[in-house]
Amino acid sequence: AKKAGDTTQAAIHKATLEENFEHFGYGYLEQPEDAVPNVPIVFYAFRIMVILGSFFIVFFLINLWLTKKQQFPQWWLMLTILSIPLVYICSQSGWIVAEVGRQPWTIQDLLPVNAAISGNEASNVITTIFLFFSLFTVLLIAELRIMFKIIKQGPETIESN
Amino acid sequence: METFNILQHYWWALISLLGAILVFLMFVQGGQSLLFGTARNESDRTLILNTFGHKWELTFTTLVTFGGAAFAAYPLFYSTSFGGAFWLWMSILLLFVLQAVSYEYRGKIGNLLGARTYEIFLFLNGTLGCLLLGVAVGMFFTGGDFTIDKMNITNASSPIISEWAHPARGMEAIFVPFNLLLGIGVFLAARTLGLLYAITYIDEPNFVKRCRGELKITGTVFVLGFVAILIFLSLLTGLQANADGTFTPVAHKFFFNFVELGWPIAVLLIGVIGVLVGLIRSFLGKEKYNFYFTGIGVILAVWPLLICAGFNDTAYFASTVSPEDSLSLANSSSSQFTLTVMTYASLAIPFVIAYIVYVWRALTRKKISTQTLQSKESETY
Repeated sequence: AKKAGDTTQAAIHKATLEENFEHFGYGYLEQPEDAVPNVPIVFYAFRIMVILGSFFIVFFLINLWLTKKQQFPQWWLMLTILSIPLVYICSQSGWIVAEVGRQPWTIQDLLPVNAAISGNEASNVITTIFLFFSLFTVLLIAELRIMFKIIKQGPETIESN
Repeated sequence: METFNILQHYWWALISLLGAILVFLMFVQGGQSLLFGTARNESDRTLILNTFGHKWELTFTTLVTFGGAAFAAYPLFYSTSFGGAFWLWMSILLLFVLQAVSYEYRGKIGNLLGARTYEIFLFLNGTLGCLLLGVAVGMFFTGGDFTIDKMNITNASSPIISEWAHPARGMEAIFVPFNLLLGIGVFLAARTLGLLYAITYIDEPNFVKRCRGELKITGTVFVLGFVAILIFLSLLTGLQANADGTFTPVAHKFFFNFVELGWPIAVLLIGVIGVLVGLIRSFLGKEKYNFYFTGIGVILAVWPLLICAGFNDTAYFASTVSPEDSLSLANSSSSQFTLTVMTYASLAIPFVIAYIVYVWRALTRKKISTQTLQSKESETY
């Protein structure tokens, strides 16, 4: 209406838009179910995150106490090593809660993810994903190799170098 | 001037200042560009990386803050430029990812790719990274091949507002002469500052002597290049943003912006004097503060350039295929509410700067030499 120069109609449409703006994003959804995220994934990811987070609080308190005593039982040191991947699982669970839990919204009630897209061709995005996937895989291998090398050498060898 | 208008200008001034500080902090990239040629052996390369390696995070975070501030204050620019000129920005991102990991891995035992590979990555970041960032910033003056249709938001099946018209998705900007000149200018600024920093903070007479020799050439070419950029810029036609939302081409628009605003000329002149004082003092063999004279000079010389890209009712991102879709401060900013909240948050900036100054001083207390690097604690990279 604005382009056609019909200011009366434009004003009416603008008033309707402003009146309903807080629900603007629902217009992009096809059915009511689309407004609900995947509940089972969020449910379990949230619990994994909280359980591991709580575990780490207790774990570090015990570590502080052991550090003060300067006594580290062998089984505790093993548990410490086994806990390393748990940090990543905890962190990833948090991301899953945040990103799956927010679906379908990029901006709550205003912009769903299917509308928050650019005009970029899928081939460009796939190429970028492949590029970063390859790069980060190589870097992961490099990182692991450095870590294993340092662990194998042990603290004394590093100092003598 | 109404409040919304003031906020839009305030945020453009801040983003411009961040851009100018970023060019200054790219002395780290300039230092990395010395890895091949100026550095003659592995010892020189270790010296360079341990001199500049303490500062690379500052440049990186300033780049991210520049992008973040642009995203928050001018989201339509961000979505159009970053989503549209996809391959240009992705190339820049890739080069900066390589920089981050290279500093971390290069000096570690058992690094998979070998020290030389990481040195090449850092060299590419120091040369191509500067060039491509300059090209991207050049689009503030030369525009890009995009269209914008806000009405597309009502198209439920494909609600895409910004479309990039060129299939090269931003890489075509490299072949625009002004962009390329600006890219070379950014590289020369970074390398000049890198040389000055090396001369100031490296205690290795032979290496410093080589840096002094190179500075005479690089510094002179940089100054001449900057003059060429100013002349080229003053010849460019820009788009005037009219009050009714239309745009009119104006010959020498950026030159007139300088003249009509006035104060950017004064800032530019002070900046140029700062750059020259630092360089001439260094040419005369004086040791102290040259890096800071030239560095602050670069900030003060670049800031007004970016100011004049957006102030004085100018399209700071012109559409070369559909001029009516161009972006100005008025038609592409966040809402007044968002800008107001951001402005309150920006009051914390002086504290961040104070912290950076404190860290900077702590990290530059001692000069670095091959001898100091031989004590294990001081070699990080």
